[in-house]
Formats: sequence, structure tokens, C-alpha cells
Amino acid sequence: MSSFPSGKAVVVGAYESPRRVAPGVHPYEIHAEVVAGALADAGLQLADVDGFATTGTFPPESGWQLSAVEVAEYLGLAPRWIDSSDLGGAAFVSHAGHAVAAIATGMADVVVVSYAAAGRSAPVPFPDYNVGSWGPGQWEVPYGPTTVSTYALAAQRHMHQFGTTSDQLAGIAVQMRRNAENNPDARYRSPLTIDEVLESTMIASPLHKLDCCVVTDSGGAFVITSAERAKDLPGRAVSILGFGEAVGQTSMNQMPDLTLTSAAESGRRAFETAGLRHDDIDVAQLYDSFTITVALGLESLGFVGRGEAGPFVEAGGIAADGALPINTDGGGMSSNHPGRRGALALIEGVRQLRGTSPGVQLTAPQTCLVNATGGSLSANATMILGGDR
Amino acid sequence: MTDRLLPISSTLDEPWYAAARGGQLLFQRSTSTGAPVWYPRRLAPGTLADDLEWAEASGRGTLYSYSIVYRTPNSEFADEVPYVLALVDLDEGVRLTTRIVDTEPDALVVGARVDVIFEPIGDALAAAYFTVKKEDA
Repeated sequence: MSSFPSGKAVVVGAYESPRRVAPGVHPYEIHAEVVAGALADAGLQLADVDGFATTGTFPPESGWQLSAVEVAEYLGLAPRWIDSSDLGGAAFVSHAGHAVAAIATGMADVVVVSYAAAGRSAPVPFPDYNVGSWGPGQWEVPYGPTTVSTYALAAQRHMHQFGTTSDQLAGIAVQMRRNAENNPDARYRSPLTIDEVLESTMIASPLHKLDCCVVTDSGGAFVITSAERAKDLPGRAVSILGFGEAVGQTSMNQMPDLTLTSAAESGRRAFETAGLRHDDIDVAQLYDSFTITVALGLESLGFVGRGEAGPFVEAGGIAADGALPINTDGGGMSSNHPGRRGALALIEGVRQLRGTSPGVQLTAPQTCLVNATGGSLSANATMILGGDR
Repeated sequence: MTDRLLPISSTLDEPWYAAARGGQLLFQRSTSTGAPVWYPRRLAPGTLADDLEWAEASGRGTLYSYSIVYRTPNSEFADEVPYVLALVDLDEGVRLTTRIVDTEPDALVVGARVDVIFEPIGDALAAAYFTVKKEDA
């Protein structure tokens, strides 16, 4: 039986960097900016923070092996609770879930989760594979996988198995662009058509350039504390109702079914801990590194049946007035994706429930599901947030 | 090809590379459960049973999925694009990451029958590629 302390911990501050293209800026500068921004939003000081989580283990994040230590050092923070779990882009939602447990058990009172990366402008070279060619990677990396092509393998299989079309996948990118049109900070805001997606350069078939997320220099941070402590704070608290995480694989040859991700497990756990059903979710922030990531998220989380994501998108299911509006700030496809978007997806979930989305603000949503996917469909972390009830 | 990204093997992996250089495709099997195992492990995944044995595969399989890679940020592969990254399900029940070679990329279909071919690398290593069987091409 789960004893997840649903609703006992809350997000009291959230801040996304407005930066998108920042050559010459080290990611730790952005860490400092976003932690300051999130604390100001929460009405707290750095001295109030006793828990800290981040991870950054590849060059654009500049954290290497001791990222949590170095970023804490840079901020001038000496936390008594630290988390540096590395689930790729899912890490920061995972940190948020772990922070709930830390707060519930008294191991921390105020936790800051921070993320920053120079995904676009890092002046140091870095390879585009998740693992090296010693150990398990020797059976995959020498054959030349790229991040895009590993997701392309899933897209190709999905098309074969379910008849999903490039037009349907493109429809996801088009909707994200529509959501970004109002967002003043979004990387791209001009209207996009399905034909433009299909006519963009093929990167790794069947994924085109515009099936891929934007690549930015940016970051974000959020602050979690107890619901009790939040009563004395000025900002509008957003409750953490449920959480789940799950690992899949790093090598694609270890994935039993490329059309079903570990979001099936993380999502099930999130719904169970929240005591909610799919019908209870008003809006979702689904990891959108690629269009196929969204399709697999919709299906693996159980919002639609296996193979039904394409027709669901085509019928307007993910539109702002659809059955499940998603990525209301423009997501990683059009607004912001420095490499590990999970923190930013969670921040948009908080903004949506506070009524402050910079993109498409829905009318008084009460629940938001956030799902973050890391690596090459390698891991998932799912959180369900709730507004005032 | 001097900057090609090579596999780095451990002692455990040496029988696979030696067999591949002789034209045989090996995988492991857990003798207690009969489960085929890929990639090579020290103990059986899921049980940690110390009962893994090498077995020889037929070298035949089915194309599970593929992607024609046109762009790569990895300099080691820059002069190889476009190439076909693929997942192949061996008839013995394991899935390999590989490339499809000697086959027109635009003619590929998921589900095609494929055969292994080996390429020796240096003095001790090898790569396993696959090609679409002639009658399926």
C-alpha cells in the first residue's frame, strides 16, 4: 500500500528563465538567476533553503560528476538534504517526488530544485549518445545512434504497428506552436502548418527537423515546502497530489516494445498515489522532445488506447479546447528545451494551476499531470498537481 | 575512418568477438530458465543466476524498426551519413542494435527478413550488420 503524503507538500515558488539563446553565459549564472527568481516568487530567502536538488552530468550543464555539490557551492548553499538522481530530462520531476518524502519525514523543510543548461551555445564539444562504447554501449553506440534516431526507431515502429502517419505527428508540433503564439519568451511563435513540418529537413527518418524540439540555453527552478509552512507564505501554493517514477533502458535493444514506455508504470503510480483517474485531469504537460514522445506519452500514460494517439491528435484532442490540452506554454517543441525539460514542464503545470500561463491559460483548471521523459525513452517521472480546492 | 568510434570490450565479451571474426553470431542463454540474453552479462539479468552459457544464433532475424540517419552531431559518424540504424530481432529471441547494409534504404520495410554479415574491426573486434534477404529485397 502506498502511503504517499498526497497534498502534504506544495510548490510555493516557480520561475522559468526568459533566456532562450545565451552565448557566453555559463549555466551556473542561469542557476543563480532561476533560484533567486523561484525564491522571490515564494517569498523566501536563500537562508530558508535546507534541501537542494539538481543534476547536470554532461558538458552543456557543466556539472560533471559532482553537479549538485558544485551548483550548491556556486549558490552559496549548504543543504542538509541533497538529491542528484539522474534520470535525464525526467530528473527534476523525480527530484520533486523525492522532495515530498523528505519534507514529510522532516529531512528538509524547504527544497529548491534547479535546472540550467547551455544546450545551444555551450562552447565545449559533447557527443550525442547517452552512454560510452565500453560496457553495454559497445553493442549499440558504434552503430551510430543519435538522440533523434533512437526516437525515430520508436516512431517508425509506431507507424508500422498502428498506421500512425507523419501528418498526425506533425499535428503535435503544430499545436505546440499554436500554444506558444502568446508566450513572449517562446523560442518560436509564428504559426506553423503540417506541410511546413513535413517539408522540413529529414534528420532521421521518419522524424523531420520540425518533429524535434527547439534547442535553447535556459533553465528553471521551483520551491517545495509543506502545506503547513505555505500558509504563512504570500504565493499561491500548488499541491503535489501524486507521484511515480520508473526506469526503462539506455540501449534501445533492451526495450521490449518501442511503442510502450516506462510512463505506463510511472503514470500508474502517480494516479494511484493521487487517488485520481484520467477523467479527473484537466490539463497535462507531456515531455515533447520529439513529436513521437508526446504520442507515446499519451498512450503509455493511458489517456488514449495503444495506437490511438495519432487519431486523437487529428481530432483536436490535445488542442486548448480539446479533451486533454497539453504543453500550454508551447512546450519543448516551440518554447524552451535546453536538453532536460522536466523542470520547465513542472513549472508550466504550476503556472497553469495558478492561472498565470504565459501561453494558453485554461479556465480555472484544478488538476495538471506532468510527465517527463529522459534519455532515449530511458526513464519517466510523473507528477499530479492540484490547485486550490 | 581513423576517428571511428570503436567498441571497447571486456574479457567477458571476448568470445563474442572471436566468434564474430569467424562468422558466428553468439548470444547468451540462462540454463536454468532457458531465457535468451542480449547483451552479454556476467550473471543472468532478472535472476542474477550464475548460469549464462554462450549459444550460437542462426544469424537470421526480422527487422523490428529502423531509421535512415541523415544528420548526426557526432563527428565520428559524420562521413557515414546517410546510414540505416536498425533493431533486428533474431529468430532466437533477442534484439540487436545494428545497421542494415547492402540494401536500398528507401526499399526497407519493418518486418523484412534479414541475415547477419560481419565486419572485422582491427585485430580483435568485429561488428554485426544485417542485410535484407535477397528474396525479400
